[in-house]
Amino acid sequence: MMHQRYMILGAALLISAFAALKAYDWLYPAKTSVKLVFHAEVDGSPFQRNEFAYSNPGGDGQFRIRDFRFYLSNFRLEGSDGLIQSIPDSYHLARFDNAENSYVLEFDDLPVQQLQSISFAIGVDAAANTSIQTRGDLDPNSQMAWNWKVGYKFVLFEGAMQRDGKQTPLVYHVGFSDNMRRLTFDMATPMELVQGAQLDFTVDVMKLFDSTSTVDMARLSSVKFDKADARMLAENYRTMIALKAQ
Amino acid sequence: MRLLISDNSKYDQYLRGEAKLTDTEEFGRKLFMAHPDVKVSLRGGNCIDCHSQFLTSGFRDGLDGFSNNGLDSDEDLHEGLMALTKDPLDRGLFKVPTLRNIAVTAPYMHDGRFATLEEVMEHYNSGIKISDTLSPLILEADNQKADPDQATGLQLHDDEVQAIIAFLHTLTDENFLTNSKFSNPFEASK
Repeated sequence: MMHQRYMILGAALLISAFAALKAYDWLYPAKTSVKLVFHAEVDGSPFQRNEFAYSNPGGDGQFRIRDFRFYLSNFRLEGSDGLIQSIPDSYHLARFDNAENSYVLEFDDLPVQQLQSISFAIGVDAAANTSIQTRGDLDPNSQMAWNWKVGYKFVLFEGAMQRDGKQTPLVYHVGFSDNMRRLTFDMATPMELVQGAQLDFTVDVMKLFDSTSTVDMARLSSVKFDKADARMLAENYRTMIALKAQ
Repeated sequence: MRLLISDNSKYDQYLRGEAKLTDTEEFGRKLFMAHPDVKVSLRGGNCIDCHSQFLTSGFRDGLDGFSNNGLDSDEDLHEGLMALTKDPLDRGLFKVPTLRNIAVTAPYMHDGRFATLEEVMEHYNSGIKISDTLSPLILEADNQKADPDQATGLQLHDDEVQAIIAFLHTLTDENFLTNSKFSNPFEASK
């Protein structure tokens, strides 16, 4: 008899301990992390620097890429339970001059368990753009700074055009707070942010010149401070990042 | 350890709101900080494209602080950064130096080929030599811009060149240069 009573007591203890653990999990869910990988490409071709490998989308000539980089900012993750996590001071300079031609970002310590959507901006918000405070990858002494009156270049493309055996420089520096573009990507199905969770994006450089507007890069070989040209390229770069199927 | 810091030039005092630049120096500062854009009638000396705005040194991210500034054409281009990286993209790239105290630290360029700031400005204004790794920003920076194939430099007016040189003199920090604490410790102090 005694024996049976102990068994029941033991089982009850086990069950309550288990219930307590479940409640703890529910009250204090484990922190998650996610890795974002941005893969540069050019209209489906591999991204390479220094080869005249790409065709001018709006006219004659072949172009090459010397430098391509841009700011990503204001990351916001939304969970399937409606929980929204904004990443503080998230100003990240994406550059692709590495062996993989990719840019990797990692966010740790997230409360989001199941990712429903992710949102971020190409460019920098007006408050940070007009400040000389360093935060994230914003640095007023960096190559991306114009000067403290104008703010940052959001997207930088430098290279050269080859036409009729002649080379001419290509310089596209797009900035101004109005030209920040926010992108939102919804998951087809909520994504469990378990160990090793990774989202892959493609960055199609060609979209900068061939999207909403098609640019003849031989005619418009540089964009810097002309507001209309900058806005046109901003409308184009709005479409350059795509989420790869998971 | 960074014990020797120059932070009391006239430019520093100006940035801290303690000093006013003369009209010429201010004109030069604006040109220093501007990349020319003929389309919006913006004239510029294009200096800031390599010399960061507050430090005036090269950029600190990776090897961003190296540039080919058009000293030589492909035939006699020095090896430069390529000696280290073995990357042909880095041929003829040299470290962009700080411009602090530049008026008192002649000669100029990696091989000391120019004796005066006037010669340096003449190079950027009309002496650019084209090579494959030449910075597109230097090639493209032209205040007259008619035919990019003819580009040889900034094509600034004389008064603009003089203004930039006047601004460069505001980077001289007498306090730093004459501070006995920064003098040779092996010589008896005066």
